[in-house]
Amino acid sequence: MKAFITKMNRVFKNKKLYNRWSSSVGIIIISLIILLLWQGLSSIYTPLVLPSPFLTAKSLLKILQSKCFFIELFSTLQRLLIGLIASILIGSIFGIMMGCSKKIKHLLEPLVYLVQATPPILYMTLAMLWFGLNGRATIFIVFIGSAPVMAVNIAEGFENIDVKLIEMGKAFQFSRTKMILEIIIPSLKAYFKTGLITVFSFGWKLVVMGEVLSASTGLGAQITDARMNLETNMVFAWGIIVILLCFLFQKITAKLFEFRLKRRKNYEG
Amino acid sequence: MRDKVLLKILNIEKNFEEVRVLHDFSMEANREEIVCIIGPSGCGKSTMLNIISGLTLPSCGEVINNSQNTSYVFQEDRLLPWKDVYENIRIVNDKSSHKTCMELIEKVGLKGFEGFFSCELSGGMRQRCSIARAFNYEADLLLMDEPFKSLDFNLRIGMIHYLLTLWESKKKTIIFVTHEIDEALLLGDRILFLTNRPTKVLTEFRIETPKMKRSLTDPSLVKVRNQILDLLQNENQPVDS
Ligand SMILES: Nc1ncnc2c1ncn2[C@@H]1O[C@H](COP(=O)(O)OP(=O)(O)OP(=O)(O)O)[C@@H](O)[C@H]1O
Ligand SMILES: [Mg+2]
Repeated sequence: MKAFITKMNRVFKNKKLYNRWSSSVGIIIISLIILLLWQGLSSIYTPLVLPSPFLTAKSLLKILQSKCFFIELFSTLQRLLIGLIASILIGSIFGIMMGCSKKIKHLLEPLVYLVQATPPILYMTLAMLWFGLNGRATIFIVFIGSAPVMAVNIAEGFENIDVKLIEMGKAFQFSRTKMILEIIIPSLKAYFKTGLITVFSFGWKLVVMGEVLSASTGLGAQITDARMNLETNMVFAWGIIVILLCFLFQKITAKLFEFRLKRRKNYEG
Repeated sequence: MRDKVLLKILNIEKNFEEVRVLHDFSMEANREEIVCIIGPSGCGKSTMLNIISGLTLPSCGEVINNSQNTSYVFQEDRLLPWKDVYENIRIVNDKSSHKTCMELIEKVGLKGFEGFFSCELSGGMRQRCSIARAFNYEADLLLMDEPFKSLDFNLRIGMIHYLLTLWESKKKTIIFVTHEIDEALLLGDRILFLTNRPTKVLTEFRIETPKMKRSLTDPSLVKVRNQILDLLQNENQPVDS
């Protein structure tokens, strides 16, 4: 016992290890509590209202084993990526224009905020009217929901560029390109990254919502199918898939856009 | 053809909204001269250097800058956080060779820290990096805003000697703002003593002893030192010295 305690002490001296350990303990405890509650409640209600964890797990396995899962996943990802790429491009262009000129900013800002303030469900209704019940409405809503987020983030990045560094560049007569490449773009990186991460998780939620309401393929459409067939267990199973994928997606984007400084070069020789 | 006067400031005025910083301020600097400027905090020394470098425009008045290029050691280090020491120094001069940069790094005592980012350096190390950067930029006018602050005594003496040898070989004109009387005594051909806002040159001291031969115990320097201390007492301005 004593040996165990000293060992644990040593492990906990390593702060990173301790943090990881305690965060996974947290996850396990929370999951256990949820599972217990779920199990308890599902024994009170019928499976139509609340399927038991076991039933849900069975449905989940069934879905994962079926071939159509990957087809549905693919069509969802396709819509998501098209919408996101468009929103990142257009949003960044708007953001850059707003950042470069105060006049353009005053002109575009109300528009961007208007687009951002409108509830996604309103766009959804309109998109269904405009594009019909196919994937395009979903792409549209991902785009319109994400683009302003990107624009606002980039514009904010421009606001926060350190004037003192710009002055430094001027004092040492940096050329225009040098100024943009060495000072402006690196200053914007962090804001671009936050924009991307926000947009990726937001877009994921929008794509599912869009599909639930308007598509016949994709993960969201499967949820609608399950609801129509009164298969609550399937709704739960698909829901779990969507949540896990969103989580995974977020983790991957955060990792992908991690800008690290630690890349020490060797200047000797 | 070459004018003896490199820099001339005539009756400039600078106001920031309601704060009148410089009023009817004039000074000049000859080629190859080191002009030291001592003045109370907040009197507008940095503002003046910004005006000379062209970063700030005076509200009125005239600035005649005959230099080809102007290099600047800012009061803050103003290093690019995403570049390491070496890159920060090299970036101001695309033509500078690897050897020159490494030499500069060694001269300011940052050898071994070439690959460090500014967030990994101490305040004094950052300051030295920014000095090396300013030296790497080809210029005949060098503006230095309290460049040796937050350096320890030995480093400070070392940097003063380094600046003097550099001056010997390249003969730059240097405008050197400082709060340290000793630095001014060792470096300056002239020392301008400024009043508080609205700022003017109160007194000008001229030191004739050749810069390379000066020592702080030199009677002529001691005399100037005492005069400056007297002035400071009359002004009743706290200056770290
Ligand atoms: N961008 C600005 N906007 C408004 N006021 C300013 C600005 N820059 C400087 N000032 C004012 O101008 C005055 C002089 O500032 P400056 O930085 O030139 O002082 P300084 O002589 O360099 O002082 P220190 O020795 O503390 O560095 C101060 O009163 C300051 O408040
Ligand atoms: Mg200053």
